[in-house]
Amino acid sequence: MNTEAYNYPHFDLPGESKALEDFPGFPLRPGERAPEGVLEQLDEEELNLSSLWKKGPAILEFGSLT
Amino acid sequence: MDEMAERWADRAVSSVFIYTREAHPGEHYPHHDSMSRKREHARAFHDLTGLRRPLLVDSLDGKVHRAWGLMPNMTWIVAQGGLVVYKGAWTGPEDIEECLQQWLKGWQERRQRPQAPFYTERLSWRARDEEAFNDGLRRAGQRALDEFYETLPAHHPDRAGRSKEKGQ
Repeated sequence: MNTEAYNYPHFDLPGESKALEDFPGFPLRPGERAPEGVLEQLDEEELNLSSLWKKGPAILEFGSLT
Repeated sequence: MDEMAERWADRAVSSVFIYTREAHPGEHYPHHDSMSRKREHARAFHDLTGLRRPLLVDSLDGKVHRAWGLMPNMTWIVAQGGLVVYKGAWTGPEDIEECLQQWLKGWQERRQRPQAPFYTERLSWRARDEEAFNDGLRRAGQRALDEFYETLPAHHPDRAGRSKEKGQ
């Protein structure tokens, strides 16, 4: 999936429904190690995902305005 | 989710919102064609919702979103040290809090009495507010609303009403 396909301009299925259907079988699940990643804060400073669970548990909610 | 996050903040629980692609792009908030547009939408989301948790923006190609399963409004809990303990296809604050409570109880008690974590799966409930959802689509633009009901006509309020009358 390239950047254009990821940022689809129109909501349609089956692309979206596939993600919904596949989620239970998605290999990341409880008991696995959380993958590292880099995110940007609102001030555009970078933050390593793993810094969130260094001192305690982390709750990660994903979403968008729409 | 903000209230729940605040209840647990003094227990060293960090809670964040990760900004992904637009799930239902519309005229007002189209799909992201640049990182600056993504940042702009993330800031708008922050201001419109009054979010009280840190907002983190994913890369334009959604590297983090893809690595965690691509669901539009999923929630995960990661234990201290990096073990995944909760995978939620959607975001249900009560379910999340219940898991967090249970996990931290075991985490604290593990030194007093031997115990081991085990894998489980279940279905849970989340509140569904159709009006708020439609308002969200309208905020994105009429196109977002039209495309949602064109793609998923069974979810249309009129159609759902008719089905009930027919006893389906």
